[in-house]
Amino acid sequence: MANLKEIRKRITSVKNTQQITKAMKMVAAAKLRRAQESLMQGRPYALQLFHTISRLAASVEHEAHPLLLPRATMRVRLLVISADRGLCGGFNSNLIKAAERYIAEHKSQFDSLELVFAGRKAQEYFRRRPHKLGTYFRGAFDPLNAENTDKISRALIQDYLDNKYDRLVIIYNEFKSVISQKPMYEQLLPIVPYAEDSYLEPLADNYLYEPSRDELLSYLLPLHVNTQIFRALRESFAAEMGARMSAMDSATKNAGELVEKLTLSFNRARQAAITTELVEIISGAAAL
Amino acid sequence: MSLQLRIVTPTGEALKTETTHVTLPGLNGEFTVLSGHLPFLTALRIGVASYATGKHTQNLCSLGKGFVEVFANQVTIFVQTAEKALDIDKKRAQDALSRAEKALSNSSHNPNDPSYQLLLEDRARAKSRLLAAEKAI
Repeated sequence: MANLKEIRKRITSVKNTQQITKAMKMVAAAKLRRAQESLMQGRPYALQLFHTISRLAASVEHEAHPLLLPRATMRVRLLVISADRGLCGGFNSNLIKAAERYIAEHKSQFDSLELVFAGRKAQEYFRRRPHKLGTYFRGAFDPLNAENTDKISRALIQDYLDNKYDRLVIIYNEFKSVISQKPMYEQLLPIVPYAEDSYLEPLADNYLYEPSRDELLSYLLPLHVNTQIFRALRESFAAEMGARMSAMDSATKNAGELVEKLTLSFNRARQAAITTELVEIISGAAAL
Repeated sequence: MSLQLRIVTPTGEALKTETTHVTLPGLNGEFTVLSGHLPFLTALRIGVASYATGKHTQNLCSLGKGFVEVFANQVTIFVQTAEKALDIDKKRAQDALSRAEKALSNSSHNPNDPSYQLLLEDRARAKSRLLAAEKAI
């Protein structure tokens, strides 16, 4: 009989869990829709800006602006963009793995490496690792907007200009589709033109600038870095919501299956108990 | 030959169209881009852009701060905000302008204060929106 009670208790608890995962799935789905929308709206701007910057960077010499100038030393800063929260499948662990792989593959070329973070999960993981840790940009997704991104990009650009590091690489989950995310890394500083760009044809000396080239550069280059960080954060956020939605969806399904199995064994146990009781009664009656 | 005109903002692509010429508010005054223009990159002031499509020779669009690139008959405008004149509600634009004026008159009037600069920009944007809305057909 104790068995029956135990199974009933388990069914209730699994059902409760299922309700929670179902609710989390709904919330993630709603957030995903909004995140995806804002990501799609932001993409053309980031992409066009990248094209323009590429053309510009290809047509001026590196010395024209410090953000374009590659440096001899290689003190690398890696901005790891993960999620603030868990329960989103392999989202964070895949990203962390990709970051570890990137570090292992490139470390020999670096003079030094420093990790900076947006998103709590990667920061928590790397805190226990033997890497040098830099700033953790708390609350980058809380909320994810232009002001919070500005804070991050301004700090990073300032440190770069102050010669605190020589190269900025970001690693983040790209939003491929609702069910698929892919860890990507990109070098943001110094700015490198997109090489496979067909737009990169001769930009010639007759390119006109107004007001002056240098003024435009010092306006455009930070804007570009900021836009790319903003885009990466949005990609990551949308990807996180997608990952959480599908993780919670399969959790809900699993819970459903478990409830079915438990119900089956509950019914079996109940029948077995009834049979035993009947046998007891009948044999008791026969003994009279 | 025509120009490919695109206006992109961080919150979306505001406009993508073919046009024969486009007039923009440059830092040093208005200028018009025709097809075959030299590659060109310039900062823009808050103001109104005007472009021709088909029968409509003067479509207006209110622009925030940004810049424009002209390259191979493609005009790409990068701005913080953009609004087509026909989408602007005149009444609300008027209200926004008086709000901006009021905020400005209560402010520090110190040209080095960044918040004062922001208020000036707000007013300029409100003005350009109202202007675009009034001129729209």
